Amino acid sequence: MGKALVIGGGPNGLAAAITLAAKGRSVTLLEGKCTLGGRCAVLDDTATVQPWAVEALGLDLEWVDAAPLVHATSTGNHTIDHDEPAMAAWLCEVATFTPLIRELSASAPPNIRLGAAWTQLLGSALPMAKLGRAKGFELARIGPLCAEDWLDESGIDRSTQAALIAPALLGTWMGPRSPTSALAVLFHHALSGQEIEGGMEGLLNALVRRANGAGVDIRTEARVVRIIVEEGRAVGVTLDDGAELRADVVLSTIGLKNTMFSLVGHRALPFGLDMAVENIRSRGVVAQWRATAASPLFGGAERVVVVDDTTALERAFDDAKHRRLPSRPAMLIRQRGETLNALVFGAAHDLDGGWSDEARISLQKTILDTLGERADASLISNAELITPVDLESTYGLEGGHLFHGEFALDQFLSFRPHPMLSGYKSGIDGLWLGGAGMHPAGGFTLGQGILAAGQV
Amino acid sequence: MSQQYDAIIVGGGHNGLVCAAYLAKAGRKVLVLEKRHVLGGAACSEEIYPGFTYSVCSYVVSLLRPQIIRDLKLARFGLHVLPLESTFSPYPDGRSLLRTANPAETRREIAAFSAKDADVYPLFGKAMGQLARFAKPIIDEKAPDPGSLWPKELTRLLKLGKRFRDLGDDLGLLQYKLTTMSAVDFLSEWFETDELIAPMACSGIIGTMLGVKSPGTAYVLLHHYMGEIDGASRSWGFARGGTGAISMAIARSAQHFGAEIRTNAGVQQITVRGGEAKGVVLEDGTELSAKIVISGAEPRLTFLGLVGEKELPSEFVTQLKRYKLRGSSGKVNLALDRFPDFSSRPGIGMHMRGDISIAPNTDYLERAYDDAKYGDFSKKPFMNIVFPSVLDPDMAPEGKHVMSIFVQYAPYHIKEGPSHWPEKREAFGDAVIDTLSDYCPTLKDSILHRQVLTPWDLEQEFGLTEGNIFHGELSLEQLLFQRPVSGWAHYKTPIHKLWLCGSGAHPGGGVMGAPGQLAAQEILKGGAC
Repeated sequence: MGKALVIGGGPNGLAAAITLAAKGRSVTLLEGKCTLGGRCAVLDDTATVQPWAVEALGLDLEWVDAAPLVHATSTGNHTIDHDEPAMAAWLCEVATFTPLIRELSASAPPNIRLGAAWTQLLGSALPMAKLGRAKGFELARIGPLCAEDWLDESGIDRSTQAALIAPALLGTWMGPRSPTSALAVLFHHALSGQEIEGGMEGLLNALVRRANGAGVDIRTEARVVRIIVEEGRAVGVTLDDGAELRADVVLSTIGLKNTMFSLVGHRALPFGLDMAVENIRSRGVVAQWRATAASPLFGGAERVVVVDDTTALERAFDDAKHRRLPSRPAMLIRQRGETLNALVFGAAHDLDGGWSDEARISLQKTILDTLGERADASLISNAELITPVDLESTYGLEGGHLFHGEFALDQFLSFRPHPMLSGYKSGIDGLWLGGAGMHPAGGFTLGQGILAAGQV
Repeated sequence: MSQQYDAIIVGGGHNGLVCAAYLAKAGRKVLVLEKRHVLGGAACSEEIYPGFTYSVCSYVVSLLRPQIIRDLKLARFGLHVLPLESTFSPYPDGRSLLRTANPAETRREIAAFSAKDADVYPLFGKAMGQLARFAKPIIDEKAPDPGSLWPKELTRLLKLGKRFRDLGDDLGLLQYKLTTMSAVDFLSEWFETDELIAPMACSGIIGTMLGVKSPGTAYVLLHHYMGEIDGASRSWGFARGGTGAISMAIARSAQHFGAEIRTNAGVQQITVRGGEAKGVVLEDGTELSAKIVISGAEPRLTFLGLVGEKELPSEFVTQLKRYKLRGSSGKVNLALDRFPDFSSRPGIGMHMRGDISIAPNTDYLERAYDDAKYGDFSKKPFMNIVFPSVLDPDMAPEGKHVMSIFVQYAPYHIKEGPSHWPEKREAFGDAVIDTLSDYCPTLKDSILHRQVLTPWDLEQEFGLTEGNIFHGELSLEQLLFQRPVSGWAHYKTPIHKLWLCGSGAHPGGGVMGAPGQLAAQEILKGGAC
């Protein structure tokens, strides 16, 4: 078997490299920075990592139950109770769709391009048909709803609703009152389950161990500056030190625009593809905030969601939508020992006036004030804000978007990121795409790299 | 007891009248009952102020089906549709944009903003025209039922699937994007000028409680282009005599075919015995019986108001209670002493012979939506304006004018509660006039009379539940086989012999007449009366 190059040393890059190596290829993984992991340094939630993916990769790790979620509001903090009747009923409803959603997320999306066989199309309708008429219609009804309307039906109060909705919005450009946000919430919760012991760090270590074990040649500080395309076929890459590496297969797990525009270049793209890539939407609405706490906040809770109710959440989205600083951001905090890692929802990548020092200081203050209403903020020190613009420059997250592309109906399943790029094909022979912008969407699943490598 | 009528139709709105006309034409004995003193429901014309005729609510002919015009001989009964010739968008900074049917002129206008957009505009129109051709049968036929295993339904679905594939990859994708994306996102893939995107995007939000950046709002853009391919029949326009003239033409046609129509005859109750509709009880206590009852009223009002919860399956009641109405718009009608000049383009030119959009940019529209989201009317609303008197001088005394202003957002659910709307009515009217004064400073001084309709008024006066002008949100989960609710999209209802024919049924709101026509077709086909 031939040689393969994987671009990007994030979770999907490692997963793709392991999968290709397991198929007998000689794999070189190229990471531009000195460390591996990419987005793992930002996201610290492994609940949506799919067990099938872990199994497919043969990772050596343990699953643990997710820590209780503490909901911090301006009127008090409490642990979200999954056994509360309205909540339990809603989770039951979600569970009826879980097998379908997990099945969809565990396989490559059907090819809907012209020329796809009818049988293939009908085959792809099979999982839907398995739902049955009543549940199928219910999914068609729920999908387009806004999350707040859907959860209102269940009788869950709007404060608790916000705690359930907020995590699902990180990958979208939506508020709880945007149509189709119900689908994002449904997918997020259907994909969520146990977490990985040691969290994202535990996962990353397992990935690296497995990659080394599989014989992947991992190179850090090896920044790819160009994908070499000869006669319409990708045949290798050029590194920033000028070295050329040749291979039979190139698989990119970094951002789609970066891959197609910077590395391949407009001139080598097939007709229409440049427009398709240009139109992929990845508008980041999340900043990262890190700090240390002298003693544990929130009673030492590991997982905390800071948001008052769905109105506050919608207003946080409004702030991002109007490109202004969030006045009441929603936050998802992971507390490990004395370190706090928060994802701050409501921070626009394209902030009016840009992310100046004043803007950064102002948001830092807002974050501390918001926390101060719910915990002893005087214990916090070493706070550091990583804006969506920083996320883009540090981790290559286009538009600062944590998932390389918004979760939206038109960027979903066979349409993710765009039908011309569906099926992990780039439109250029020999170049495959396996980054977070590909199917499956809806959470950090680890599926893209594996499925892409599986298609090679 | 023998029934007095083959069919009683509750509500003399345009859809009820269309349904009546078709049934009467097929030889059925039909009675239409209208609560108000004028026919037409929300499609009515009234002389509220002496000498000035207002199209009180609905103000344009939107996709009135050409087949209905022909079948019911509406031209013979007085329907005369004047085409809306342009779309004019003034901006607060004194610039403006006029789009007309003349490609060269429109190109020049758009090029003043962006040469690229001027190039793309006709291409966009062409693509949308092709999609409109694909989508048109959807509004001309009953909704497909994807869950059905009936051979007939399956054949229809396969046909639809085949037609979708025949569109080809590019158009197929475009159609999919159109159904799922927000109007602004969709248009932004084509155009770069916000001043152009904003007024175009507005057609996606009219009547909905959504913003131009909310997913799913792109779809209604297509309706504009559907109008164009109806071509000479001019299904997108303005009726001579106001919107009520359409209803009156349909009513005359219905009467010609033998239908009986009563005004001031509000229905208090639909009589149901043993799960079967038997007739109606009027507000004055009169009982009338018929083989079938057809309601043109909004579904929730029909079932929870006129039938009663206890007659209905509980699952259906749950569905109805979830049915989203959420009116989001109001209307201001003005009688004007003289024509108010728009400062960006004074005078009564071509730009006053169409509709005028107050939608200067997409952020403006989203801010207007934000106000509504949190329970208030927009301080700076989106407005769609027509001057009926420019197109039809008979609408006002000589030299004077009527101005019809559709205003969004005016949410039914204001934070004080909907019944507090009357106290806010004038403040709402003032916000409209104040905003308009930014564009035509002389407007304030030329107003002789002002009629302000809030969503509360639309509900109380016209039976538009929660003030929703379409009898229910035109959102994805309330369209096609899910309109009004899943399982009951074919005009039938859980009550035997009770049918729906209003905008709450497929294909939805607007002065299309399609729900009325399709309901009549289904009723006649099944031999229900």
